[in-house]
Amino acid sequence: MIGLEDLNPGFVLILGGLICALSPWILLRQLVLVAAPAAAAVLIVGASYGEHGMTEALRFNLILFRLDELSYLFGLAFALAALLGGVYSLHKADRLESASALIHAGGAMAAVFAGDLVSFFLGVEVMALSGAGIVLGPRTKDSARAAGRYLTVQLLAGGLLAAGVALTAGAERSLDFNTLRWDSWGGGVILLALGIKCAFPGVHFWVKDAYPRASAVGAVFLAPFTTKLAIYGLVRAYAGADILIPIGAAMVIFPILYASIENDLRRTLSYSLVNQLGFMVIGIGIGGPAGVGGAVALAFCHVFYKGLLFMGVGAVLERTGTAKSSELGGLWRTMPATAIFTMIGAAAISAVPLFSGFIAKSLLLDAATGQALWWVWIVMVIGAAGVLEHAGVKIPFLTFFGKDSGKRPKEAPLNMLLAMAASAAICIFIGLNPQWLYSLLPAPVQHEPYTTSHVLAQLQMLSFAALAFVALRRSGLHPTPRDVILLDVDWFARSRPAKMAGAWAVRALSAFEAALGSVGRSLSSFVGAEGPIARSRVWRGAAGNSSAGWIAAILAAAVLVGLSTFH
Amino acid sequence: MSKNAKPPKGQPKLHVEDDEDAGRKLFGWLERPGAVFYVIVALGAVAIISLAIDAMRSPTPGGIDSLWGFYALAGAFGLTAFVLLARLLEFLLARAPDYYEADDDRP
Repeated sequence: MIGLEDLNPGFVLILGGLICALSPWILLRQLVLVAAPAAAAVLIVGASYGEHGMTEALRFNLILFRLDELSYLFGLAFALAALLGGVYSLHKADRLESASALIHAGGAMAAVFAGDLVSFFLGVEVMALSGAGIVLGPRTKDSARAAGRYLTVQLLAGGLLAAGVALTAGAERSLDFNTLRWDSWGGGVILLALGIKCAFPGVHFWVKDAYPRASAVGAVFLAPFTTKLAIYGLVRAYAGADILIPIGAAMVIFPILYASIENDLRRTLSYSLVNQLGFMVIGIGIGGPAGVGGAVALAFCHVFYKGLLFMGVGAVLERTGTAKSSELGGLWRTMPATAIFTMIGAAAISAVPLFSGFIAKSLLLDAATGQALWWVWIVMVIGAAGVLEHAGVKIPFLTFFGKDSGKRPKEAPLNMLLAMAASAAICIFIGLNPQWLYSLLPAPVQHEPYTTSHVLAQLQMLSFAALAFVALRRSGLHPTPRDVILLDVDWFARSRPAKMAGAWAVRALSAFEAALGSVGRSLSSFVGAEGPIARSRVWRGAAGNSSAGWIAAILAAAVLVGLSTFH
Repeated sequence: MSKNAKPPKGQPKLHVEDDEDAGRKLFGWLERPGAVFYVIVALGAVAIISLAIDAMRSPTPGGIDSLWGFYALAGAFGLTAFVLLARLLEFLLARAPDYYEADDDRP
């Protein structure tokens, strides 16, 4: 008999999301937004390590709830992030956003606690659909299009994940994460799927496309989950895979260039998010207790400090109606509390000693030096200077200080301030108590971040980088915020020539799709051009029904491959 | 009606704080002449002290991280290089804000 201890805490959030979707009463939605994540957190803390909720389906044993050191830390971070996001959104508690946000968080948590690849895949797909609902939150033409593009990319990753799971199950006769190897067919395809979710270089564009188009509340719910779930998957299955080190190094460097000149502060934060993921991917690639521990510690800290930065910029957006740095400045006069909390988030992401980012990045740097990976170490040190430029100084400076924009908005609503205060407190608590976080890591690490050499090196680097920022501002070499967009790899999908090429590809794919057989047709009837998804508002907002053809083909191919290998 | 105007008859008198008062309590010193200069001086002081302590420490055998002033160079050079490269990138990649919308709206 299945008891409470078998209940995956993610299901509580999904149930909460469904209640929000059905509830016409804002009071009930507000209650659920706080109660559901709190209940999930209680379930996580109260559960015992081991495998719970075992069931059988598709002739495989599925483990719906596996709790170990790794899933505990990620699950706890997700529960707290959902709780903080819930508090942050209380003044609004929009039906679509509340429901989507809780289901999104629930899907992430369900996937983190999944003990097998099929359960993991289901959680990931729940996240993809609900994430599109969050992006759609503002209900504008722009957000509908972005939601469509987001859904396209996420379903593409989901299709690849399904194919990888099927290949792995066929080859290994197992659905365990531990059987994955990146140089096997199944493992390679799953790595590609996780790479899309993790915003690997070249497939990173969906982050900067979708997150800034969600509402202030929506972005706070989007930022912690999808990419961190991908990091969890990489840690679980690919720790120590050398291939991840150069990928992570590229992720550290190139987003800094975009973030430095980006005008939209939420897009700056999105690029910054990719940059931070790069540090984590490097740590996973280095492997070992220090590398993996550093990546996991950074992921845990990142959930809160990046959430805090999105909250701060979101509060500004909520009050002024803009997040463009060219239209902001001097907001300290009327939003001082938001300014302070944002500066705490900026200090944490910049790895200022006594804040959370410092204790995680110090562990990662030691992991690189421990294996004599000097070029990786230099990338991380110089990358840290870049982080200071765009996230540590630029965002607080251009928003709250700098040139006075003349705007005098009200301070953020009380619930937003409360969520920001709690996030800031977590950033400081972790910074002051590094051993608390280290003791929760999957493998024990012996590391002391507050040594003279660590603190001195960091202060030296940060102070000289800050002086360089001042010199560049005063000399006029630092870019002045301008109302422009920057071309990125999504140009290949969104420009006119690319769309024309896409239309031809769709015709070719339609012929291919028709040949896939009954499985393909039945899937296509749901996902394809005439199916319910294609007829939905979100899908019509996508780059075109070409995407539906792609997804249908990949899903159908995945299922066909799976069926052929099972027998 | 201004924020500190008298409330209508019969309603309790509420003290409505000027929105800018809260900000001035925390950051009002920024408006004093020379405040930014002192911030820069403080930053410079931290930089110089960190270099001085670094020089006084006995050198430890190891990689390039044990070189005197390495982190100062990495911080200043790294940030400057990123900003200058970003400016070049801006020259190449910046487009009007409605660059994609024109194509998106085309049937």
